[in-house]
Amino acid sequence: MFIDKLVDSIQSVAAELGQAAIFLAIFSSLWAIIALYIGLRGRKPNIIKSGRNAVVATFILTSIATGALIFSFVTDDFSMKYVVEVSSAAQPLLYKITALWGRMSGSLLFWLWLLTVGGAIVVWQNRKSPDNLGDYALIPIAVVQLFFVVVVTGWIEGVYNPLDRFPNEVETVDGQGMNPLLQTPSMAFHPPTLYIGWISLTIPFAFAVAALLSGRIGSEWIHRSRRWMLFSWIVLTVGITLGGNWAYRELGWGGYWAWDPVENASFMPWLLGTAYLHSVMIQEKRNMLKLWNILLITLAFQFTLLGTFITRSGVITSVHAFAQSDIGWYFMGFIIISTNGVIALIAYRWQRLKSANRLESLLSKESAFVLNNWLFVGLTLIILWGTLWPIISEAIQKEKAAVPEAFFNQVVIIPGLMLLFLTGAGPIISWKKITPNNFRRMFVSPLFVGVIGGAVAWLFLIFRAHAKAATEISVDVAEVATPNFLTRVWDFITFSGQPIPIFSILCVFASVFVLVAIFSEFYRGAKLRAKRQTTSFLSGLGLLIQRNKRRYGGYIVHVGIVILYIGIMGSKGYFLLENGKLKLGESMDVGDYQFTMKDSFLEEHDNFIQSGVVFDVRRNGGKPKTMRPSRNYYYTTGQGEQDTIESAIRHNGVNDIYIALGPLPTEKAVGVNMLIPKKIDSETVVSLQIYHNPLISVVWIGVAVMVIGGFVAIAEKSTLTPQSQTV
Amino acid sequence: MKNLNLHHYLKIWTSLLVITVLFLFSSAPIAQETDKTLSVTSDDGKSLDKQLDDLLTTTYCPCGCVRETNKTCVCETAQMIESMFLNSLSEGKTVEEIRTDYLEQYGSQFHAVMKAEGINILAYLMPAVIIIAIGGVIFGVRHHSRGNKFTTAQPDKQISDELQQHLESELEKYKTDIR
Repeated sequence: MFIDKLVDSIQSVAAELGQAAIFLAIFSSLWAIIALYIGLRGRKPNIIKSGRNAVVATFILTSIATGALIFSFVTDDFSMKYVVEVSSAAQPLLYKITALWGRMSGSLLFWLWLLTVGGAIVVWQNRKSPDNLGDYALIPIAVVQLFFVVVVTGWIEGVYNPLDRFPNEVETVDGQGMNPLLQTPSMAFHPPTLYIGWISLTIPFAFAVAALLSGRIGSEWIHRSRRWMLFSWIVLTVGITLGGNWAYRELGWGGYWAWDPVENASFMPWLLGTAYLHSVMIQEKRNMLKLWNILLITLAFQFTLLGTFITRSGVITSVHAFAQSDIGWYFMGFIIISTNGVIALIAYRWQRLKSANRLESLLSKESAFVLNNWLFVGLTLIILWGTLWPIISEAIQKEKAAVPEAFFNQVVIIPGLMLLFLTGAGPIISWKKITPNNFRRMFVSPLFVGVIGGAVAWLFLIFRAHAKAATEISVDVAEVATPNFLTRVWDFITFSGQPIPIFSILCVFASVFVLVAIFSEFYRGAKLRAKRQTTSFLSGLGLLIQRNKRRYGGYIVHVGIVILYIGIMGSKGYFLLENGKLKLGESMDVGDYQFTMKDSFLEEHDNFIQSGVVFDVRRNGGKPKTMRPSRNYYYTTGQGEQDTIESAIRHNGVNDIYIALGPLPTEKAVGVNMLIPKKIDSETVVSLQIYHNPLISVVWIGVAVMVIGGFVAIAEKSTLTPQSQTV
Repeated sequence: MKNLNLHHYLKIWTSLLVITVLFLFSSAPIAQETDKTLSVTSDDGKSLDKQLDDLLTTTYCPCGCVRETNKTCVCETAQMIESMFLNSLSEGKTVEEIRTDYLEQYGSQFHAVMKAEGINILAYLMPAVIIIAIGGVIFGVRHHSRGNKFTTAQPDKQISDELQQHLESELEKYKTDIR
């Protein structure tokens, strides 16, 4: 009773408290900017301290606002507009909490809160710093915070304050509930990981601006923000993969990546961040590319905002939506102003941004890094171009073009393969200039083995294509007996006139080349360590990684990239899809597998009813395995779909068998806003899609290896090399 | 041939590689290995299944599931459209006629194929232009940096504003002391 009264009384003021906190956060972030600027320019420690405190205060205030909103979700406060939109009484607790980022208003508050967490951590990290670089970095952080605080207040048309209540006369007893598609564990973690990745990308950008503001243009800002950048990269990698995994499990189309604008928006900052992680190495080692690094991290940061702008403003939906959405203009305005600010600072520091060294040869590690950056930035802009093409085409010809997945696959495949090759060439090519000796020692074996790998792949694909043709087409014996031997050989090696899978062969060649190059690096290093320390090879390997975590962590990431490429090649290039319509007891074949629909089921859960079928799946008539694809019908239907596709996935080694069900028979419920699924009987025809996705698990394994490599690399503490220090 | 050392040799190969890449880019619309949806050919000799497959894979489902073709979308609308396509094929309509009717009804944004024709040529050419333009910028910067004669790693000779201010104040103090 007392608890209920306490909850009621907190509920009655929570939203107002949160709103007041947001309002105060405007002043705290504004004060942080002013105090830090005045304090740092005038070298006044007390004012600087006040600025730092203001950054911490912004964190506390946004925490209060975020806490108030979460409290309202958990206690089902349906007097609040946002709670009604994305939650309902029947929604499980986990999804009541994750409803915080269920729609735009809450997402922006959550983003702001994470940003203030980042700001508070920077204050804490730099509390004992001998210089003021960290304090300078707090200025751009506070500027970005101010931008988001203003968005969250709801003053900008197109987004309302998530802490707004309905007018008094409106009474709502239950919420509409979150989109059922979002009520999954991977969707609970996917958005926050992406947001954390984007926020941690803001910190290196802030340090770059700090370097420009303070005039400490050396590599110090890179060292201070290195772990932030790596952390961001790891988290973005995980976040993007969780999104792909969610799409694979929940959307029922058997894939994990379709070059959707939302996917592209998360992928572009990742590409730029990866380019930056490579290019900073040249600044650290050779004191070059200072200007480029600042531009790159600025671009990466701006792309996080651009991604939000593209996906949240509705600009992709229609060119006219651009004009209708004020928040789109607000984001675009901030991007333009902040980019111009950075450009002005660059112009101010122009003389100091010149490289101390120059590229000596096109065939050197520096050039490999430059080429790597060229391709990464090129890929980003190509993806941006494809993402924006519907708007551009609509503006030019008044008719919107849809950009299919195939377009992206075609235009990214060549730079993608070149990047894969560089993944192996970069680590083994020497600094400054390649010598014939270096080439012979480092390149010949990996290239040779790579060519063998490519040839084996070619043969494998030839035999596979011919075996497939033999099962599908009845072979004319007389034709086979034709004495023109050369024609037959030519037909054989050229896939009988079918397109030669040249990209698959190149992918295998490059992958084998990279693996041999990287493993020989590990082998040589470990052997040397073992010899010097008179220990075993494995201990030598451990020592090798321990002594240079950054380098060898990076190599592990490269191995993960190769694994990922192989997975993408198999799952995107060689999947099988069959659509079918079956009744209970009927069967269909897909590849080597036989599927028999033997039973159906209907299960009631807390906030949905699950309806599905049971399959017996045999491979070449072998032992049967059970699969249970289904659809979930949710009680509340406030947003989007009412039912979700619960695909059945069975792993067979690294390959997957995947079944998704089409619409099932339902009836309208009396008095409840939902469809009730009917039991599937022997007369019901069930439509379904069955996929055979080869090597798809390899995709997830590749990402896991990349993340492990990232963690190894992040474990190394930053140390400044003499040539990169600012005097 | 005596003067053709490894360096020259690799440069030639790099140039050839760049030319090949540009060629591949410009022929991207033709390279259909990864695109199983673009196999739009004559209806002659095609089974009803193949024709239906052509239609389903080259049109997007209008149900609201963005970017899902009628082949992959698992919804009632896609099922209805499949039946509609099947009926039209049975009536003797060609794949092209049925597709044209469909796109007239729902709009060109439901075409899952972006042919390299008309304004779309620009879409296919731009990636190559982007790659070349970025390369141009990089080589321009490299050419510009040739003026710098440093060839070995040099310490960064730049100083921070604070240090500069400090040095200036020390200098002022020194001048005052001398006076």
